[in-house]
Amino acid sequence: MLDHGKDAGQTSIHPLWAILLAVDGFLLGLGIMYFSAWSDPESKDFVQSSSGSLWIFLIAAQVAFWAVVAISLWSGLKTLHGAFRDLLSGSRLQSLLFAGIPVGLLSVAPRILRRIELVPLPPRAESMIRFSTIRGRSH
Amino acid sequence: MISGMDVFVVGVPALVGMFWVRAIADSVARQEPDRDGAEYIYLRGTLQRLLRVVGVAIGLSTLSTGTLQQALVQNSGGSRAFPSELVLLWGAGATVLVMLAYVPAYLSVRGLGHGLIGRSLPMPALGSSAWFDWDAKRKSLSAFLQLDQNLFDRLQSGIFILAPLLSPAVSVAIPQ
Repeated sequence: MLDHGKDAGQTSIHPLWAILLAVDGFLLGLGIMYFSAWSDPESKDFVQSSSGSLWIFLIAAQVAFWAVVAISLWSGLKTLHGAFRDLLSGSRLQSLLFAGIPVGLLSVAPRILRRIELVPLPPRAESMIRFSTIRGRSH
Repeated sequence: MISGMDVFVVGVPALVGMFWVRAIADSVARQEPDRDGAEYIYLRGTLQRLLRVVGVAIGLSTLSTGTLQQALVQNSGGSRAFPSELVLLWGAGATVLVMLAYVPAYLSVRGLGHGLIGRSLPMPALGSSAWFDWDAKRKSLSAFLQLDQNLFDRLQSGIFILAPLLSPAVSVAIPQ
């Protein structure tokens, strides 16, 4: 019934694939952040500053982390659900409600934080910020 | 605004996974208490791994938020308003969310483990000759099932859970 090699959250992919995924994710993150950053002087200055570069590096590290973790996490959860499908059949609605809490907070938070000014980056980079960290609102 | 991609890719799945662990542990304890210990070990391992994954995700996200806050302040010469307390608020909020999912699951799994011990090793009459032997076996089984660790020990073993709070705290502490 149980496959202990596939616990939820356990990385079961080959180390080489994990490294490749991490590198791909990192490059993707860098690409998205830098893609349109050179379009205006303010953005260019921001990404060329040491603190701006460090921030973009951390965003890229996050994307690398997602790339490595997402597959094993989702497959692990699938295994967990499959192994205990009968016991979880009565808690579907509760699971949805539980998942709705962070999603609800995610949709309410920007209204609360609207007074914060936005990073001086163009819209594409802004969407990346939205997906990765706290964001403000543009003028 | 609070993390989007982190929430959808890692946060929600991990939190729902913790909720499932709690639901499964409660159901096993209630409906099928005679199952062997494999379920307990599986659920315990799963819960700790989910804690580590979500802890790293939130830690990274909070760290990048702190870095963004510093970058904004430095590059704007202080004209942009991005209080460092918001970073701390994000880290604390994320930690509370994780704890709301983790602690009930941890308690349910722990209850399942204690139930296992209770059924495997029923307590003999207190003070009887078999009692000391039972006590030694119970302690040994508790150690094997890691039931001798309390919640704080668990959080220490999944130290990343502290990252959401530590990273903004460091961020706030660093002078602008």
